[in-house]
Amino acid sequence: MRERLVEGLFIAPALVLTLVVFVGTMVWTVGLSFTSSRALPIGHWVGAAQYVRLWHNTRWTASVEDLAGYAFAYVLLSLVVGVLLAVLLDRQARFESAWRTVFFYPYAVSMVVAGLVWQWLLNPVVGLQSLFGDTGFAWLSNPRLAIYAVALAGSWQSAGLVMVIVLAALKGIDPEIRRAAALDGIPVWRTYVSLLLPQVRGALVAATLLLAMAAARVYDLVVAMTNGGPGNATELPAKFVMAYLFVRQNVGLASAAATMLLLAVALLLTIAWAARRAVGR
Amino acid sequence: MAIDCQLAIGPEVARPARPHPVAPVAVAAALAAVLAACGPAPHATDAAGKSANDAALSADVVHSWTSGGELKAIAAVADAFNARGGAWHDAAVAGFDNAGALGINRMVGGEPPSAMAFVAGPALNDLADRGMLTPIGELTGQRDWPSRLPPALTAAVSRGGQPMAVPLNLHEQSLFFWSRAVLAKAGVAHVPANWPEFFAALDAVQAQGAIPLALGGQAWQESTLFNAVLGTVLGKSGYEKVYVSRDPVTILGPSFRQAVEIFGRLRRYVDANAPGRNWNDATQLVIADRAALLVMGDWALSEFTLAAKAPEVDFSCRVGLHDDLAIVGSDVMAFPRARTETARRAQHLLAEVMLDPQVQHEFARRLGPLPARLDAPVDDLHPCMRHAAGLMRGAATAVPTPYMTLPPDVLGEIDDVIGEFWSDPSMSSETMARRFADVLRTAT
Repeated sequence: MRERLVEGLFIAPALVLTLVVFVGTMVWTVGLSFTSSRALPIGHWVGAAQYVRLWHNTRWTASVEDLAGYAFAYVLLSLVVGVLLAVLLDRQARFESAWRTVFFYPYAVSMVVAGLVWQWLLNPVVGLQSLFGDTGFAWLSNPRLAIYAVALAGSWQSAGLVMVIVLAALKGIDPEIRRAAALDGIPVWRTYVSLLLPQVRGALVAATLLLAMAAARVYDLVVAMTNGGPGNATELPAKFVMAYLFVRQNVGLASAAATMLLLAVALLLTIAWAARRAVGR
Repeated sequence: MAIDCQLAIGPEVARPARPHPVAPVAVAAALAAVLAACGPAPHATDAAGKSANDAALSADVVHSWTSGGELKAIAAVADAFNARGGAWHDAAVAGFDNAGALGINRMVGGEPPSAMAFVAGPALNDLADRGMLTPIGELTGQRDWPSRLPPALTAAVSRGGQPMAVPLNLHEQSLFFWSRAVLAKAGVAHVPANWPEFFAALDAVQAQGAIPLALGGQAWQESTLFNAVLGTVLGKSGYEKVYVSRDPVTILGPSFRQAVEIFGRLRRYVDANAPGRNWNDATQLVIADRAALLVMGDWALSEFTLAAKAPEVDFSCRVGLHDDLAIVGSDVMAFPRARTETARRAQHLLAEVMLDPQVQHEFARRLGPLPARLDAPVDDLHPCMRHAAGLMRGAATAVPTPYMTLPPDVLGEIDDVIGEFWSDPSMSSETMARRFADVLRTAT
């Protein structure tokens, strides 16, 4: 009994903090999303009217589409590049730790810096475009391609993380398996595709989940790189929330958008939980 | 950092293994705290509260005049306030939106600033309707000042006939700045004054290799350009039917469509580097004679002055293309309800100082716009503004900016429509007009 009390006292500060800061504000935000609050978080109950307005708002629907495009390109590119790098380093590369540092380094750079660097690289007048002539690098002024330019910058930042996770998992595999595969004359690519990568599927699921979560809440990268433009080609839900909360003075609509984001993240976590159970770890 | 490993890799770590006795208490405490706080935590010092023991009337003022020239301008107000027995505490925040967010957070959190800068218009309504602003009539004995302002401006800062803020200045937001050197090089002898001359000049500039139109590809700059085109095409009554009475017949009519098409035609005169460019960088293109035209508010004038560019020699400024219609906005000061008598007395003095025609004149002279009061002198302002003053102060030659007539969320959605149209050449002027009308129709 006494032991449990002490235990409780130790956990209490963290628990109070979690409940107030995370759960409390979440509940409050969801509550506000059902009100007509404008500049101030006080308003009448209006039911689901803000949600109706939200889904009729073209900037919101554009934001959701842009996020889907971003998430798909970002997760896929980060995974492919990250796994490739991990496999290359796993082949007993020379100076492995030096390479590992180089490839992991972008992850130590904040998204704001990554966004600025890539904004300059892709600048149509002083960037790659001018270096190599008209090679089609003017992605940032093209409404169709701008979101993929942002995804490219995001992947540059995150691929190193995938590499580290997958590499660590690959190193953990029993070396006997590789030796046996080599003895049987199985080609290297086949060894990875059929034998080694399936063994690290837990790590792959974890990496995918991390990337998906990062994609769902991307904000700083876009603010630094395009600020939503050209037009609304790179607007994202998180930016929508900030705009309506602090500039456009519609707390009710912003809260409805934030609640939709919360639902999306909850859905992701549920899928991840199911995937982890299925993978068996 | 972009990825939170703790949250994603080990959710079970954060979950307690079994219920703890502490939990119900924590839940109650959490809910109580959330209900009581009702907003972000207040911060900064309550200068008004502290001043109870001070001899001087202390006031903190939230604004976003933070660039070199702007700081000098607001110092004119601060100096006048201090000279009359006040103690000015500057609560400047870089970025207009950031300053607004901070000020409103402080008001919600119960630590309101003494005064806070806004632009005139419905952005004030929500705060005024909740009784969070002090009507100016309660702060100053002066009764005649509202009649010394342009009537549209008095209306924009009033709720129920009561002025809720003190207008400081009048901003012209459709100035056409032409680089004389670029025009001359392209063989354009005089500044274009109608659409055929306008397009002929831009074509000539483009053929010669310079940038015809300097644009910053940010939503508010694209909207500024659109509104200038709209004012030129529709004239005063048409423009006001769009932004003041929100008349769908006008918006879906042929003149509006013509304005949208002219706006769309401007896309080809902008360089590829425009997206995301800041207004001052766009201004520099004209100052450096790399671009022919900039359409911007009067704040761009300070950049020309700083670069020692002479009006009508190095550059020309016109009020709209036809030089006959001014689009006018205004910076205002609002006074959140104060809790102490000392704080109210400080606000009283602040309001008196800000309404003083001499203070308004000095503030405007350093910042660039006109003083809000019609009885304040304008003789020693920039020649460009002296010229604009006649149009800006005349009821028949001035229209309000959308900031004066639309609430912030509607304004933002109009910006979205304009920005989408600008970046998507495949959108028809008809679709644009319909979406524009939809935003104004569904807005509350």
